[in-house]
Amino acid sequence: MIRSPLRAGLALACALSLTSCGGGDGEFYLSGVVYGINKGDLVLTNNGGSDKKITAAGTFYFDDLVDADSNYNIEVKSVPDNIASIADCKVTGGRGKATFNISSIVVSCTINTHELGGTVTGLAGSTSTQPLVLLNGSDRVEVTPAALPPDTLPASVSQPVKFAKVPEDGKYGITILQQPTDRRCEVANGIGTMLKADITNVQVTCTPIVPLV
Amino acid sequence: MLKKSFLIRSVATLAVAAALASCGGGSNYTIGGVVYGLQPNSALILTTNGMEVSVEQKGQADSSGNVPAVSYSFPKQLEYGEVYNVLPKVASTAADGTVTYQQPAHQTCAASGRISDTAGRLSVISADYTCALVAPTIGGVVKGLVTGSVVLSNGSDATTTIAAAATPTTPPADIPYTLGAVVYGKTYGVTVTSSPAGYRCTVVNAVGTMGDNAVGNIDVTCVPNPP
Repeated sequence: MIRSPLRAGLALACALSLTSCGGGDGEFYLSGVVYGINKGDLVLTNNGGSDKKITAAGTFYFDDLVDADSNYNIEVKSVPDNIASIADCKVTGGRGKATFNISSIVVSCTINTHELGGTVTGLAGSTSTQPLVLLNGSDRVEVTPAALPPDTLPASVSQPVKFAKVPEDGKYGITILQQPTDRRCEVANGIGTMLKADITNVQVTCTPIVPLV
Repeated sequence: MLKKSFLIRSVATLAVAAALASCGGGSNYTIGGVVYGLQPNSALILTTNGMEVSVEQKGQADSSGNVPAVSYSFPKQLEYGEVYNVLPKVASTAADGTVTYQQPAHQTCAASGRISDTAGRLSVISADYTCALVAPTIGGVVKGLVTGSVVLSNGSDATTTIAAAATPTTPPADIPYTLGAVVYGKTYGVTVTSSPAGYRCTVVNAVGTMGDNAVGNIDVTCVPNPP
C-alpha cells in the first residue's frame, strides 16, 4: 500500500520516457540497497541485461519493471575503480520469482584499503614516561622509543610507525595527541587523500627539549 | 523472537482469566527483560510498580568491543491485570514536568522491547533496553573564510567542506561547523585537508579524547598567504 505512489511514479516515468524503460513494461519493480561504495559506477544487471548504473550508496531501483511471476537474477557487472573486483560486491536476495514488488536486494561492497605509515626519527632513547601518541582520527598509535645504540645521536635513528589501513579515496590526517616530556615532535606528510598506493612517507621528527639551565 | 501471536494468546489468556476469576485463583507474572550493550562495570537502574532493580554488567567486552546481554527480573511478581511500565530511575523532574532519567555512566539506554503492558496479556514479558556509549559531536567555527572553501578531516573517520558565504561581510562572519560524532573514549584529531587558494588555514584545540559533552572549540582560522 505504502509503495503504490512510488510504483505509480515509476510507471509515470516509464510512460513519459519509454526509451529509458527499454522493454521493461512489466508489473513489478526490483529494488534494494547498496552499501560500501563512495563513487560510481557500480553496474548491476538482471538476467544479464537491464544495466543499472549506481553512483552512491543507498537505495536503488532498476529502471525496467519485470513481469509478474518472472524470474529475476541480479548480478554485478562492473565495480567502481576503488573496488578490486566484482567478487568484492556481494549480492544477497538477488534471485527469485517476482510475485510482488521486490525491495530486498542487498549489495555489499568492500572498498580497497591501503597502508598508512612512515617513520619516526629522533625519538630513540627517550626516557619520557608519557609516550608519543599519534592519531589518525579515532585510530590511536602509541610509539615506543627505539633503543639508542652507544655513540649515536637520536636524530640518526629511525623507527617505523603504522596506522590502521585507510579506504581508497578516503582522507587521512595525522595529529599528535601527546608529546613525550623530553622531545618535541612534528608531523610532515601527514595529511592527504589515500589513492591507489600505500602511503609510507609520513615523517615524524622529534627533537630533544633542552632543559633550561 | 519473543513477540509471537499476541492476539491469539490474548484471547486464550482472557478465557483462562475468566475461568480463573470464577474459581478465585490468580496467576502471578514476573516482570523482567534483557539489557543489551551495557558497558562493563556499569549499571542501569530500572523501576516499575514501586520496585527497583539494578542491572549490572559483570562481563567484559570481547575483542570487537561487544558486551554480553544482561537479563534481569524484578523481585516481586505482579498479579493478572496489573499494569507495569519499566522505566529507568528518575534523576530529576523539571518545573515544566520534563523528566530526566538516570543513565549508566557515559551511556544512553532506550527501550527496545515492550516496556509497558498489562500483566498476563503477553505469554512472555520482556521489557528490554539497549544501551550505547554517548557520541557527542565535534566542531567549532571557521574564521576569516572569504573565498572558496576549506576541507577539514578527523583522520579517516569524517570529512567536511565549509564554503565561504556567497557575499561575505567585512569582516567575514564566523561559520560554525560540525565534523561528525565521536564515541565516548575515542580520540579525534582535526586537520585541514585543503585551504582556499591563496589562504592558509590552521586549527586550534585540534586533538583530544571524547568525553560526555560535545566539543565546540575546534576553531579554524584562515589568513591570506604572505605576498
